[in-house]
Amino acid sequence: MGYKKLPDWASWTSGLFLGISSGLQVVSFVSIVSGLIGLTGTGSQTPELLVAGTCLGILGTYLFSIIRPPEQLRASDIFAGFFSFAISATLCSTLIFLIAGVTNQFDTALYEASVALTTTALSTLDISRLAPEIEFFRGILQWIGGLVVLILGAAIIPVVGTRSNPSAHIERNEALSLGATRRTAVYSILAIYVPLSIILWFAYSLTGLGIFDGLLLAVSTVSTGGFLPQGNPLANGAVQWIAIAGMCISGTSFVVLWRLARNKVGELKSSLELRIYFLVLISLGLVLFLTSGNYSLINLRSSFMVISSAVSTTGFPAVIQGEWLPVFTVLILLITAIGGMAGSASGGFNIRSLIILLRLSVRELVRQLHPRSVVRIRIDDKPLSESTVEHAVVLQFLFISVVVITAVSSSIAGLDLFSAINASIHSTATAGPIRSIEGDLVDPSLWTRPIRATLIPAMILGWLTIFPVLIAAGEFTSFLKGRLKSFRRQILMVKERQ
Amino acid sequence: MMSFERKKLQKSTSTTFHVTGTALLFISAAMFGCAIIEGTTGGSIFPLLLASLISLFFGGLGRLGTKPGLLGQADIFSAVGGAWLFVSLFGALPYLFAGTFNYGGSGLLIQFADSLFESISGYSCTGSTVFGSHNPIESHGSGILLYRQLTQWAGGMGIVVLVVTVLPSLRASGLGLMSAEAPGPQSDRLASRVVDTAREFWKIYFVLTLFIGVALFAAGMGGYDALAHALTTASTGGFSTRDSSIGFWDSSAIEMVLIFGMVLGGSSFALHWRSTKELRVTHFRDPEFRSYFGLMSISTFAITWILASNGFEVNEALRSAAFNVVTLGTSTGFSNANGAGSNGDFASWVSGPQIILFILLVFGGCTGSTSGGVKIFRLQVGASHTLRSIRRFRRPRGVFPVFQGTKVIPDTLVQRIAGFIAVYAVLAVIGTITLTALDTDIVTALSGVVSALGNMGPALGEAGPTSSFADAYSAPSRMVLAFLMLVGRLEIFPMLLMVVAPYRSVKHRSNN
Repeated sequence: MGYKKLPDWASWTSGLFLGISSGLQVVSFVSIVSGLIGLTGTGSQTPELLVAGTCLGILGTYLFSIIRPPEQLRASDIFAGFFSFAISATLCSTLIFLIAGVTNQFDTALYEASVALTTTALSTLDISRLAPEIEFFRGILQWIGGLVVLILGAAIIPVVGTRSNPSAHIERNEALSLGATRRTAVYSILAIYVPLSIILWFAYSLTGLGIFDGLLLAVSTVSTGGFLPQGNPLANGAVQWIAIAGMCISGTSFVVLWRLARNKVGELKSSLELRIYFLVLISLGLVLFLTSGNYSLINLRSSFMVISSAVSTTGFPAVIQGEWLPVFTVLILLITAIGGMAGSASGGFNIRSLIILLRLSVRELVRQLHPRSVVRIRIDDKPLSESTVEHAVVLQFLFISVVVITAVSSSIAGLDLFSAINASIHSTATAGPIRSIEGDLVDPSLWTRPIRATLIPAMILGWLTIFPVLIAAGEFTSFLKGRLKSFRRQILMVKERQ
Repeated sequence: MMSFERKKLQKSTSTTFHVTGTALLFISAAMFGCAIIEGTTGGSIFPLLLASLISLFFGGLGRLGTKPGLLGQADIFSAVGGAWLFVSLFGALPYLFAGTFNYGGSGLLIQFADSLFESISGYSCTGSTVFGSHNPIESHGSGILLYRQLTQWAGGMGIVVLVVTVLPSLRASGLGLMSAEAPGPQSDRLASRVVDTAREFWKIYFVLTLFIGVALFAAGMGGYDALAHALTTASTGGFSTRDSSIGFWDSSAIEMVLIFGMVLGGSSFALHWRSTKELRVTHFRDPEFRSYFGLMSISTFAITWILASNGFEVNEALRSAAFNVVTLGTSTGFSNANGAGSNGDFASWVSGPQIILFILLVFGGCTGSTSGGVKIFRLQVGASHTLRSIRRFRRPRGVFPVFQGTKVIPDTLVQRIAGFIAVYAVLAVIGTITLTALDTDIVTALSGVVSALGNMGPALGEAGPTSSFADAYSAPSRMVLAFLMLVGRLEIFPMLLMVVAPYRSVKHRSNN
């Protein structure tokens, strides 16, 4: 048996290699399907996709066969798995882009693979020159990227760390649970994600968009990815309205969608997060429309397109006709950094964390006046545990840290001050496109290769909601320390024998 | 019979006026001294003298007509916030009477707004100024400029700390007042009596100022300028008697003295006190000071490297980097640029160093110093808190305390610090949105808000070290910034909560 050759693997390393093999197999599958899709047309890149996909698939399957599955998965094993999945899927996609001749530069291919998987709409490729199979490949990568965000955000992270904390456990059950176990939660997500993609595909196809373009746009909308098929389909008003509705749904918590699907509407009426989410969408859309000075229906649609694209961190390009006040650049940046609801496919630190932050500010003001008072932070009349509050605060602290580090590195690479802040926020929130102060869209292909390279870590960190990467890194450090310790011990033993 | 509740309310209101009145007496004395200097150097003594008399009258009324007593938490915020607000308002009178901001036909309202801005910027030790090429600093008299420098010196250690030194009758409330004004989440106690602690702090402050003044004089500055700059270096204020600030002298020796002075001003005064007691440097034992020093050293080398790779000579890059890192890292705000686009003008540098300087604007100096910003201690605790959170994810049943160095930080303090950072972030976002809504560009707005909240002085974008805030921001924007300066100087809560005690008092009276 293969795994007997690799004895004493810790469960952490099993998680790590499971992630790598999953990354290889997923990209392999997408590559082969894309190659086969290419056969319906000219199939100019089909051979490359099929060959590369098959090789990656064999490698992934072999790796999977030699891994001894752990008896019980710890949080760090799962996060290590997700992190290694992210890295292996990104590298494999980079390889596919290089082999298929999308670009001949490794860093550009890596950037494009990151942009696709992390659902960040900051692509530099000229889509009019891409073969349909490559378009499909990119689109499905986004769809998988969106699914990863959902599984992490709605099924894994809320559960981790609550076992020893009864109050956090209750919160998990009441607020974020999609099922009794992780597995059922993942099934619940898939039960919404797949039908939602099909409904959007069907809706786009009804507007006369074509089955292929409709599919690409549907996967891009549902994953909050933001890639567009060729020929600017958003010029069609009906497509735009469907995109707006699709983005609003994608930015909504999948727990909310799950409850809606199970006809538990009553519980949703009291959801503060849901109310704030729709309040932001509607009020900012209307304010943008009213301050633009152009009161046409097209501009109303464009206003909602801009806001829903930013809140859901999708990144479909939209420009309003009329005046763009500078304050909107700040507001768009802010809502992009916040993102949609917790447990949705969107990026950012989510509205729930923002509510906790604001409640924490109010609590601090109360505590200043009554230092010995015990004030619990509540959401929807339910008190939150201190560990949940701590998690939300730390997430925002980490988010800001990633933004700052990325801004420093991208500015050193040559971006001006505003663009560096703008690009780092968008990358960490996995959103796009970037706007100038005047509200125009910025073309990322104008950035130099070093600038684009500095944004890749932020995209991956933001995609994996930062925590898993740090936990995986922490575990890796402990693993290295342990190995180093045992190595030293062995050396000492050898010396003693001598 | 007067009810107990009513007596308590009267006592708290009385203490607020007593503290404010005493503070006004101090600034009245400062104005009077500066009026004499103005007179001896050929200027008009009238504006400063009139402002001094008005402050004396109202200060005397507040001091003699009231009696101090024990205060509740809300009363403390009311007393501290009230004292700062009134001192800033009365502190604007000399500028208003002297017509300092009467240039180019500016109306009375704008003159008052500019006077108030300059006064708040002075007392809060921010160092942002509305002087500029349209209204050069050098065109004003020595007395009014010295008064401007003195506002920063008084604000640096704290007006309320000054008041506590002469009010032993405050007893325990004195400590509450000092804590509400002191920078950082905890205030040090140097002696068993609160009054003695306040006096010790002022003694160290005075000696530090004297030391910097003598060193600046020895480095080649004139006597008056040396005194004026010593006042604003020890207080990490950043006002200068020259339009081009320290760039006027273009002297490495002066800049080195100032760097040393600013580093001392930005570190905890309790550490200085301990060093003087033990007669050796004890600063590096403190984890906060080590981080503060390390952060500034790393930032200096990083900026030097970036500037040197962008066409600066290495020695010039190091000089500009060191000065600007220290001046912003300690929230002082001096400038060594002698003109827009010169080596020291960080607004004209490439964007990398500017972002590093922006980070320093947020961080600020040490707890218990005269500097502003979030403070290194809070960031250390924040970082340790983050690490603990990650460890808890990995080991959900583990017990992980938050450390600062080897000291365990209690969870209540960690929560308070998280709350402070949350309020700080919320204020920064609201401020930035307000300023951009008032037609300021985003970089100037964001950096201006952070600079005001951290009492830094210059900002980025159009509000760089060689720019005037009068050109960079509209009058309403300047008022927003002035409010944020006061909020930042008092570490947010006293200014936000100062209305609670008067509100309760009014409510109680209306109920009866």
